Amino acid sequence: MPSETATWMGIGVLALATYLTRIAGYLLGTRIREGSRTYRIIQTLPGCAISAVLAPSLINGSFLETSAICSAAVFFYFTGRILSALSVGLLISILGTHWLLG
Amino acid sequence: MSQTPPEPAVSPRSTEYFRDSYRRGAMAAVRISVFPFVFGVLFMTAALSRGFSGEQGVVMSVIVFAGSVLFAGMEIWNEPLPYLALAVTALSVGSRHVLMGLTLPGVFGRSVSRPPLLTLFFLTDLNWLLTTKAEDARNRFGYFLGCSTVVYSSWVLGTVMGWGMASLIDDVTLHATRSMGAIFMALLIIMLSRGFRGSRWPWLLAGVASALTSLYSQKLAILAGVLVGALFAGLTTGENDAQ
Repeated sequence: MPSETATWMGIGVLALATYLTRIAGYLLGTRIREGSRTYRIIQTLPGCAISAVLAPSLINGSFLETSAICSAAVFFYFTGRILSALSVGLLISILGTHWLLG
Repeated sequence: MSQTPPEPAVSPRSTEYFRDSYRRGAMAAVRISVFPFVFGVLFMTAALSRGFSGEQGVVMSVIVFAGSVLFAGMEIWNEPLPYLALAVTALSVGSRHVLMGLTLPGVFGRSVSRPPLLTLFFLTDLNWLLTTKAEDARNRFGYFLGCSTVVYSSWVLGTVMGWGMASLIDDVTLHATRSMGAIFMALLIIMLSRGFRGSRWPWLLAGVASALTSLYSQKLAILAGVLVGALFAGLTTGENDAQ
């Protein structure tokens, strides 16, 4: 573990960089005319980003992790109950891991 | 002949609309505040198990407020601390906030001339999604702040609770909850998909590109996915397509 001073500086770096990601998009977005082609393209980008974050977990995760993610997604898709869907996913993951490692 | 006087036009920026939307945003976020709460508990448990003090964990939670960035940052928290790699990790993992931020001026519309930049500190996947979906809110900026208040409070409360509960969560359970971030993303994209008027093909291609890239390089996977998705959207979005 790095020294306490280094740790606090590291936390500061994380905080600053994360804040930059939060304001950069907005500041750029104010320059895009509403209704323009660029405007319509950027409406699809957050979905692309979420999809790009999710997909590697499905491919590289264990069978148990992938099952937990898919079960939660299918449950939510058909019932619309988000908390129940989260519980289903977590239960499969936690019980399965305990069963496999326990 | 009497004529009904026209109703006075109320600005979307009026205090009444702001308060109403703020309250509605907070109520919408309460229903799913368990997500940031549980993420907060898990983050603190992981931070303590990696040698951070409780105080450091709470400060990270309060001033960074991004679970995915914090988990990714802790993965490379070695001696000597790689500051540049930490910054690059935060920028890379948080890059989806840039894309979400791009849409915010259109989402806020006339509800605010320009939000104080400090309020954008609260931008997360969850409150962005809720605000984007709240098309009937009369002041979307107020709605965003209402969501943010609840999401941020739940996250910080979860972190503080995690400090006390860390000893109750064994390593196997902590290991098992690694998939929670991906479960959250899966639910998020289903929520986003509902009522979305554009094409979902860019999302699918972004996912495929990211998955394939991750087989060779995890670091480049998200970037590759977003680039492919954006490229496809750029090629297939015409001048006159419906929004």
